[in-house]
Amino acid sequence: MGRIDVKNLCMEYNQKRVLDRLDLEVLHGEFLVVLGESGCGKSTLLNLIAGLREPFSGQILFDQRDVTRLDVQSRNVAFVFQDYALYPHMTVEQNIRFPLENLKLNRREIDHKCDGILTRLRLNDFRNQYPNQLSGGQKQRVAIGRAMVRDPFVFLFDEPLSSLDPHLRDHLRLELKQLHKELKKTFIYVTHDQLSAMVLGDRVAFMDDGKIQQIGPPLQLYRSPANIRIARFFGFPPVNVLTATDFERLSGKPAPDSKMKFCIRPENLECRADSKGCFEVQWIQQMGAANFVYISVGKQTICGLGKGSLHKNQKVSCNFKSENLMIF
Amino acid sequence: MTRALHAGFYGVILLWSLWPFIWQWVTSVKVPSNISRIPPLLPEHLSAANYSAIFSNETFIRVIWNSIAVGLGATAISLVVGAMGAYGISRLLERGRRWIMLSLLVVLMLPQVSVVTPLYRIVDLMGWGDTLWSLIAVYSIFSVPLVVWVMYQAYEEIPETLHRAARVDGSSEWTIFTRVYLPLGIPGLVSSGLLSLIFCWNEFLFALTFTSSYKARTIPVGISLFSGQYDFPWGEITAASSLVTFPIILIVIFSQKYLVRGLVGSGVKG
Ligand SMILES: Nc1ncnc2c1ncn2[C@@H]1O[C@H](COP(=O)(O)OP(=O)(O)OP(=O)(O)O)[C@@H](O)[C@H]1O
Ligand SMILES: [Mg+2]
Repeated sequence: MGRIDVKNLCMEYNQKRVLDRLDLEVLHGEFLVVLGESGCGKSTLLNLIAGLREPFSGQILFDQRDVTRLDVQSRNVAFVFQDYALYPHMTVEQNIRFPLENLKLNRREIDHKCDGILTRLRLNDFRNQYPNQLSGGQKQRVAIGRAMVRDPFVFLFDEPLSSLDPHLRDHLRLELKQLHKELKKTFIYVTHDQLSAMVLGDRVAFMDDGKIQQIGPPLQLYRSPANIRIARFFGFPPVNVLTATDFERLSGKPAPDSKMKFCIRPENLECRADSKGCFEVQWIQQMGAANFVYISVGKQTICGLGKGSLHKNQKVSCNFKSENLMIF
Repeated sequence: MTRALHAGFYGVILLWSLWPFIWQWVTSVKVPSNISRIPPLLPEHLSAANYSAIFSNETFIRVIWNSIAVGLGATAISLVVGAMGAYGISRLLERGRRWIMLSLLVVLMLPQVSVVTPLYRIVDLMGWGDTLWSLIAVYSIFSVPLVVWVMYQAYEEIPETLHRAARVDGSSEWTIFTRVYLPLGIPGLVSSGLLSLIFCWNEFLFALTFTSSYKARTIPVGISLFSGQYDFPWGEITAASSLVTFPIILIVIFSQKYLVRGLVGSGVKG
């Protein structure tokens, strides 16, 4: 199985708290994305789960077995690094054989397993090439191949796609998702990219302040975020955050609470041409599939979804459904 | 015009720095009896007499072998110790690297005269006087820090994720060192090995102090103690000197890429 429980995990670097009593449950076979801002401790969490570092306090359980004090060799995890960390002086085949040779298996067994992986990941034609001769997608497959030969308990990914160009990234996300379906193993993927989280995750855990703030299916974090930071993290263009006065200006209704912040996503705020409308289009952002218009409300510029053909300085009126309003 | 000026300028500098060598080569191929006669400036015909004299000189042959043995011995020891040491400092040490590296640098920069007396006492106490071992041991003291410095820089350039990847793949530190860091550090090993060889080949002070016979003397000492029965054998000295400069010139020409890397740092990236 592949269930992981992280309990009360604390980690410090030079007296600076990075993880603060963090709890996390990872279910068997799920694709969990840990999302958070740069520097919030995602890599630290991953290294602790892998056993590359020792936590300050707390527990890590693999299938209810306490592995907190076990070293990385005895945990049998797979780790795919941001730069893939392929051994540059070894061929694709040697890279994949390396973990097996460490297990001191016999030649025939190693050959057999290695061939299986190469075929499965469509790497047979590249088996004698060196990592610097491979494309990004091939590198990812080699890294995953090297990780999966040992039949690991869990796959850990540390932002492997963040440095690539968008098209390739899109393609690799698809491959990764596909692979997860085939392998039926637990995947934990950390990233600061909300789009990757939305696309890849069965569940997304949002990390901030050394804790998991919210965990759930991506749409749940998107539609009903637990706090304003999570709301701000998802979506592009970013969510509109309004004060009570600006909210009243926009909706024409009294705000339920004057101290709260009112958030509405641009795609849920429809702006239509209306000669009696109270708002004026400042500028239009063409996105192909949709046009986003920017309007002034009070001192603030907010963004909405343009309906029909609009042009600059046109009067518009704005509507949204109350179920799409997020109040914090 | 400026090109001609440049060419002339470089010509002068070249002549200035190469002059001693040119003079030495020219002298070494003169007929022994004509050695100190100045006209003619260049020998009328080339003579191999000086070279055949030194090659039939058993002492000189012995000295060459001593130099080779000491150079290879000390370099081998330094490469083994230095490569492992650099790995340990670079990847296993949590803190204190700076101080270790600085103290090694101090050893490397130490004026040799300042330690020759204590080292002589130690060599003497160990009963190693006048042996190749004494030179190998003492040269290692200086070339180990050299190798550590070059290899440390080479290892620091290897991405840290490679070390973690190897740990995740179930390797022991020893496996990581031998299968990942050592192969990736080969350029650094070559350059620091060559620097160490050159140092051992040229070293004079310790070789002179710790040896009392040709049993362990190396080339620089051997040449300086060359003397004939009646007069100073200029021809043979210049022939011997030309001969021992030769390997160094070859090393510099054919491995300048590595040497420059070793001196400037950067052992891994193309
Ligand atoms: N070895 C270390 N020594 C000291 N501080 C560290 C160390 N590793 C990480 N930190 C600090 O801990 C915090 C969390 O680092 P971590 O690498 O886990 O963040 P991250 O969420 O992975 O960031 P990123 O998205 O940029 O990769 C950062 O403030 C970082 O400066
Ligand atoms: Mg990170």
